[in-house]
Amino acid sequence: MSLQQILVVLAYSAKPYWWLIALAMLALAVAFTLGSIRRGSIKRPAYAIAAAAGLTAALIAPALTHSSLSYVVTPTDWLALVGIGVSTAFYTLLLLWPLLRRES
Amino acid sequence: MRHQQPDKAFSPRRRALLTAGAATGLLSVVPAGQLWAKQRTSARILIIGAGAAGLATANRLQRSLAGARITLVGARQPHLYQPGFTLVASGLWDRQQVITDTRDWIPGGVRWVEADAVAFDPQARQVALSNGASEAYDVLIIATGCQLNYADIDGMTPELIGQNGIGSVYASPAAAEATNNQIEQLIARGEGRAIFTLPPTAIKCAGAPLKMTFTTLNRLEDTGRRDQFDVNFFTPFSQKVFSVPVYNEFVLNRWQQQGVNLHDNCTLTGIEPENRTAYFSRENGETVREDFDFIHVVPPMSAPDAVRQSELAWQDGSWAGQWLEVDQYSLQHRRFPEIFGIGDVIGTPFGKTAASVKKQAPVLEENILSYLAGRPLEARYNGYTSCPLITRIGQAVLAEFGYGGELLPSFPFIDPTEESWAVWVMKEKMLQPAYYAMLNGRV
Ligand SMILES: Cc1cc2nc3c(=O)[nH]c(=O)nc-3n(C[C@H](O)[C@H](O)[C@H](O)COP(=O)(O)OP(=O)(O)OC[C@H]3O[C@@H](n4cnc5c(N)ncnc54)[C@H](O)[C@@H]3O)c2cc1C
Repeated sequence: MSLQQILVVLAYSAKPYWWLIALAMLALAVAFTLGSIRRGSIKRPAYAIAAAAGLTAALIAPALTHSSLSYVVTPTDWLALVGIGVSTAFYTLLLLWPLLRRES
Repeated sequence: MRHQQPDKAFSPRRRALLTAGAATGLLSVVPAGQLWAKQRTSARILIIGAGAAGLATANRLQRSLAGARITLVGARQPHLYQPGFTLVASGLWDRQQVITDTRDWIPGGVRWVEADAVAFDPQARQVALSNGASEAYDVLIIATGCQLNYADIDGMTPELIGQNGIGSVYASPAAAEATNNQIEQLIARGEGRAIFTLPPTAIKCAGAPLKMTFTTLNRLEDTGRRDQFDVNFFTPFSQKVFSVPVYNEFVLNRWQQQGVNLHDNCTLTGIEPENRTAYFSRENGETVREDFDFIHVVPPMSAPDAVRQSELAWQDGSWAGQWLEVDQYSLQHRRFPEIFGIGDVIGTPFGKTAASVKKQAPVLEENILSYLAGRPLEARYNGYTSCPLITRIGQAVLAEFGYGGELLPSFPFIDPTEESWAVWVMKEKMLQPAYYAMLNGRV
């Protein structure tokens, strides 16, 4: 399968979730607007919360697909699971970053 | 390759029209589908069958040809995403998830005739339809899929699915749902005898009967009382349930571990629904009687009668009078060069899956453009066939192979013989979008 075909399939797969993607983007926009008055470095709990969110997402992903964590066995399975965890953690951090900054 | 040139019988004017615009020379060096410029033609292109293959072909040709008069013939209104039937029959999907409207997939500019083909006259280049009309063509594409011959099993009709322990995933979304209900009834009884079958003919998605066995086994195991259920698989072949050896061995080994009794050289020939009894013929002509609490019936399959009873079917060999005669590489009819075939209807060694259609459609498109332009047909279908073989609910093997049983993995990061969650996710979440992209001619 060519890269172009993979992207087309991904775009079709994302179709039912556009609303969710839009909602996630909106949440980011709101977070950045609310946090615009804050400056400075991010508070430590943000990292812990992001890591917890990533871990939770990775742990429940198989169940959300009618599967189970015990069926995650091949390197590709693990890579996919890690990908889900890391991207969820990254998104959570992005969301918390403007909100959990120290007042400057 | 034989018969690759357009028929000399085209009038010179017609030939000129058909090939106009194709002589740019550009087409011979660039795959036709990738060109910005459309190939011009005034050909009447008739596509019989508005299923996966017919729709994918209509969308592709509509995009790559200018001036063509494309007609799609098929009476069925709902479009059925058949690869989802196994998920419905396994209690995972609602049946509505596999039904869309055929109209939504037909590209603008393509005429849809809501009737079925009843007879073909390749000499006159005419197809008679069930509404009494007939359609003439310059290029004919047969995409009628499979016919399910339940009547070849004595006492069996599709109406019986969902009664007396009879299931069959193939017939329709409702039949898939009814099959799930019968499996649930077996589970609720807490014990019983389950029979799974295979017919002696080629079938669409040869993995589906195996998937139904695997998902049912999984559900029986989940009851914690697996030993109360006697699970049996009857195959007409000798120690064979799948034609590619590596997958056949995998399945037989796994079933041995899971306590499935394999009965080989047994063909389902009759059923007595009220008595919950099935009859199987053995190689030596003997008939054996088997009682069941649940039976999964897989009907013998062939091309639809209109095709198999026409001149277009294979005339000799094991597919004679059963499947459409095409060259297995070019997909062009071997005796009528203006006729092509795609999808489940074609008589080729492999190729009865939606994934096969995905690979056949660009080959067919390119060869039809070449045919119209009077160029040699160079695109070749390699027999690519694929199905995510569900081995339990939540895991699958991505079986991908082609002619000669050669493994043809699409992704370097997925082992075609390994059970995987990622492959399950593909089957459950991504195959349907990929299928719809294929219908639109986008992949
Ligand atoms: C239970 C099941 C599970 C499957 N699982 C998978 C899977 O996991 N992966 C995969 O890739 N594939 C799978 N498939 C196979 C896949 O669905 C088919 O290979 C695919 O639909 C073939 O497309 P087609 O257009 O040839 O046939 P179809 O999609 O069946 O379309 C044929 C069309 O032709 C019409 N027709 C019939 N006779 C006539 C006539 N005389 N005139 C006009 N029109 C006519 C029919 O009404 C229909 O609309 C599965 C199929 C089933 C049933």
